[in-house]
Amino acid sequence: MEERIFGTECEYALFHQLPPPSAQGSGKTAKWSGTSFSENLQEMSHLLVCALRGQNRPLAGEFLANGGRFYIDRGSHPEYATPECRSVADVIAHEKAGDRLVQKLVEEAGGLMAEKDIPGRLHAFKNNHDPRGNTYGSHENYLVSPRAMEKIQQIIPFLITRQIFAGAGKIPHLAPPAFSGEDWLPFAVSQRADFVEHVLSDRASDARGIINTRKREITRSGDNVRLHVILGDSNMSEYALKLKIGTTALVLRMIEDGLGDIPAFLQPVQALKVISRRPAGVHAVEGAGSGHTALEVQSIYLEKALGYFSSHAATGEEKAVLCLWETTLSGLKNLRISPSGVIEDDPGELSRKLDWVIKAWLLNRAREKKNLDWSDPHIKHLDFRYHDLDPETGLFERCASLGLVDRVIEEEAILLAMEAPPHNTRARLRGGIIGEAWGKDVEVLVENWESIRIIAKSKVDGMHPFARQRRSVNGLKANLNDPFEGCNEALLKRVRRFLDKCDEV
Amino acid sequence: DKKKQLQQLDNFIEGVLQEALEEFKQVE
Repeated sequence: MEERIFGTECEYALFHQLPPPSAQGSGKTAKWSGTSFSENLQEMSHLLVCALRGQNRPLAGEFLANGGRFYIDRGSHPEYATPECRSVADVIAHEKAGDRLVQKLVEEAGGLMAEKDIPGRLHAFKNNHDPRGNTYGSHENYLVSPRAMEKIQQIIPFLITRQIFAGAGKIPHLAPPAFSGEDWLPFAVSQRADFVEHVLSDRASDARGIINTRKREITRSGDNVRLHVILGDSNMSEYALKLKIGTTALVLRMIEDGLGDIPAFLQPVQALKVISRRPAGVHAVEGAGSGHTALEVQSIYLEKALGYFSSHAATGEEKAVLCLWETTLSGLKNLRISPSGVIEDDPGELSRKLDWVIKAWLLNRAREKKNLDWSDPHIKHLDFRYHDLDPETGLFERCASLGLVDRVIEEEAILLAMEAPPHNTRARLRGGIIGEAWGKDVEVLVENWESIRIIAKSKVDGMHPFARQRRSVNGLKANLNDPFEGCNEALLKRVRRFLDKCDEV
Repeated sequence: DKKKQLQQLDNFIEGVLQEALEEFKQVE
């Protein structure tokens, strides 16, 4: 499949930071106790929804005029789903737009907190676990052909090992005694690896799989289906995000065309967890006596990709991702990290590019200056601050503003994505209809990704042409079955005609 | 220049550390 639809879904953690009790009035302390990721969350997430509704931004329920969706998920986590995108660049722009939108809502919720006399400050963290061991996801969606789904096991070794460039890094809660010795890192490369228990699973909040098999009809584009990948970490780095989405799409394209033999891990879930703590370790694979490291497995996929694209046409974006992949694996080959977690040699400058390496570099800098151990709560606190979306208090955001991390898209693309949908998917129709209907005497209902309904608040004249066709005098339903369809002037004309009619009433 | 950037980063980290921990100790 040379044309593909992509999208991501990011859950964020809300963190209510209170001033010390001595700085609070006596009446407030009783209700708002303890700085927390898990207390007061329902109220805090409700404030975000209030802030969104107060923005006068075109909305239809949870859907926005940029085609994306913002809502509060299980556990009171705010979640942003990007609109359907047709390029990796669009996915990056729209995921980062989601980050900006959430941060904007947090800032506006701060104003509502002041009005309600709620002390403290609200923060949104884009990561995958809180200090109490709860996890929340960063999910990826790829439109794939039935042929790829039949052979989906071929992507598993790739997904297990891509954490060496896509991991966000974390200081683990507890270091199991067995996790020590040569090659073991004092930190984990992946945030989500500890929470995955199966290769395939239809569960999302427990017994998680690398791939989620729960069927949700979000596409009826031919026979193509959605591949829902849930083992990934949330990326702050645009570079790591581009690699994660771009390389996964390359591997899917090869699987659809016939990838050939790929060595499968004998114990895939264990390999996923151990690679996170010991990325240079060797793991048993079928048919290879000596086993493979994560880097070797990635190199096998890269070699296949280089061979594949020597005989298949590649888009400009695919060529760029291929080049990035090759450069990054070379950088990882030459990256030297001491057993105490100090980066000794980084000729590929991965500490500007990959989240887990950037974070290791930052935490080491703080450890050395303050003579702190990896388990010190100050260091754990900085680990979380890396993911804070607030430009005033977020560690990654500060690195970005100082020019200490590499970017792969222009800021203008992110600002545009906050307002406008991608131009070449059905998100354009959804966003266009939401925008056109905003401020009119109608209610717009987007019950799913495939359709949108406009209901007139006042009864519309039953004699206009549309009403006769649909035998409905106060509603219009637009089906968005084809995710590739970004241009449907006939549909938009019908919508405008209906809205004009509503305005006449 | 790089030196100035790193100095600004160190100042920022210092500020974050000073501003702060029970939440991060409980796990132990």
